Amino acid sequence: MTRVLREIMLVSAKDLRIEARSRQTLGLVAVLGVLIVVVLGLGLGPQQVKSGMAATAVLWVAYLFGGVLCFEKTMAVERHDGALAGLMLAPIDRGVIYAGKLISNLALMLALALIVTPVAVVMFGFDLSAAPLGFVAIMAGGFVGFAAIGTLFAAAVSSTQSQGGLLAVVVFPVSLPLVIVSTQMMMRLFGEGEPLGAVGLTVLIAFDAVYLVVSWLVFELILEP
Amino acid sequence: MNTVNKKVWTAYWLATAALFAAAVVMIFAWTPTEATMGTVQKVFYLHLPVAINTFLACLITFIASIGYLWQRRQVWDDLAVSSAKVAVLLCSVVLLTGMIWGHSAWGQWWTWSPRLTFSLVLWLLYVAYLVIRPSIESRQRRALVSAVYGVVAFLDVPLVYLSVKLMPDIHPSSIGLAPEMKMTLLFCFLPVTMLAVGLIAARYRLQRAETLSMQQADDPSSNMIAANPAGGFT
Amino acid sequence: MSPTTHAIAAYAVTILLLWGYAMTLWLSARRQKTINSQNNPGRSLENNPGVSGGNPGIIRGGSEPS
Repeated sequence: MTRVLREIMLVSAKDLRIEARSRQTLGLVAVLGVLIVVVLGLGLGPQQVKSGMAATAVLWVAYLFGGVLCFEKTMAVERHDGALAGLMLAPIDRGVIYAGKLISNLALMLALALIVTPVAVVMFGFDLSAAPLGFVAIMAGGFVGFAAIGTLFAAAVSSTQSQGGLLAVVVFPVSLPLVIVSTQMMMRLFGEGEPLGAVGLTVLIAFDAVYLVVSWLVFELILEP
Repeated sequence: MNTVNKKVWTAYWLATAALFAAAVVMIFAWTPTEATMGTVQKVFYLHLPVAINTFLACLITFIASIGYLWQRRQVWDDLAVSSAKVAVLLCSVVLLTGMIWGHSAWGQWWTWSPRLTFSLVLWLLYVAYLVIRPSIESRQRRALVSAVYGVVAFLDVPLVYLSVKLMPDIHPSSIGLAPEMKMTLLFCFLPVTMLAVGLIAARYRLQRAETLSMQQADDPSSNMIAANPAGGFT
Repeated sequence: MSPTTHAIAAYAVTILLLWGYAMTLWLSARRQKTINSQNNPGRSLENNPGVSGGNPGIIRGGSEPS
């Protein structure tokens, strides 16, 4: 068990080390996220911006687009110099590669969220102090499911030549249930001031479990150098 | 063999058309009009069977996708695309008739009610299936990605259903039906299901023919006309 | 618009889409048949290099008739 964990950590540490040295993805994704927030802020205009719930929707848009870029980048790293073939030859399970990639993606998305969320909170006058833990819990639940699906399809799609936008078209419709659940929960939490219900959280965790198990099972079949 | 096949097909389609016409006549001439909503309630008799058949088409895509992942044979992929195309078509019909009904009942073309959202997400899921296919050039790769997507998309359907349950609802949860109405509804399932199955089968035959001619055209020793690169929406 | 107009519109949409698609499929199948018959006219031996007795002239690397 500990060996598997160490292997997973090795795979994701490798990705994160590459990212720490190049700082290519995070810079790109953070600027994209901030741009999305600004464009939506300008597009919605002062009235809608101050009316309350726009911030969660804006944040989701930024997370979704930024996340897809993260997934593409962490998989694109493996396409250079036949790195994926080397990774697949390593004496580790394919599931370990999946888990490692998932953790790298989650780390990148967390960094993205840490940059974009304050910007949106300030610009949209979103009162996060009402339930900061609830916000973190809901977003974390959304992120895990989204990254699970994204990691799977990044591996499936990125071995084809044309990638522009393709991954987004694949991942967005599949992750819509997560968006629906989390926005509904946010609306209850911040709009109506209800405390975080156990039902909503259970649904979110169950979704994550389904996405994780399915992706983990299928990942093995699609990994090709 | 081939001519017998052709005769069976012609008979099948004639029967479907006749039953369909009979159903429409039955709906308008025989079934009583619902009291509160009036004539527009008659949309329901096609709306529900088409919705159920959408699930059927999605299920066939799912099974064919699993078949492809299991056996890696092109026939499974052809079946999966064919039923996905029909699923999108049927889902479009569900959405459009639902919107027309909603406009009459609530005065709005679109409301974010759970069931409308559910149909919309289902439609998007399978439209994405069709849209990504032409972007992937290698045939094996395309079939593989589509199969993975076909499995994930179908497993996503219950999740969509659960998630929209959290939304506020104005949709009628159940309508009290007179016995004649129930009869009509049951009868409508027959032509609609036959039509859906017939469409999937016809699309599948065409898909097979296209795949075979594509395989011949890929063969470098032949100089044949390529039919239809990756397939459009038809 | 009255409920009846709505009902008629819904039926028109359904019939148009479903049966229209059936017609499109039928036409495409005919077109495909034409393409196939152009590609292998009458499934003649000429275009089937694998078949014994086929025209050896068009087989790449085919054996010369002695």
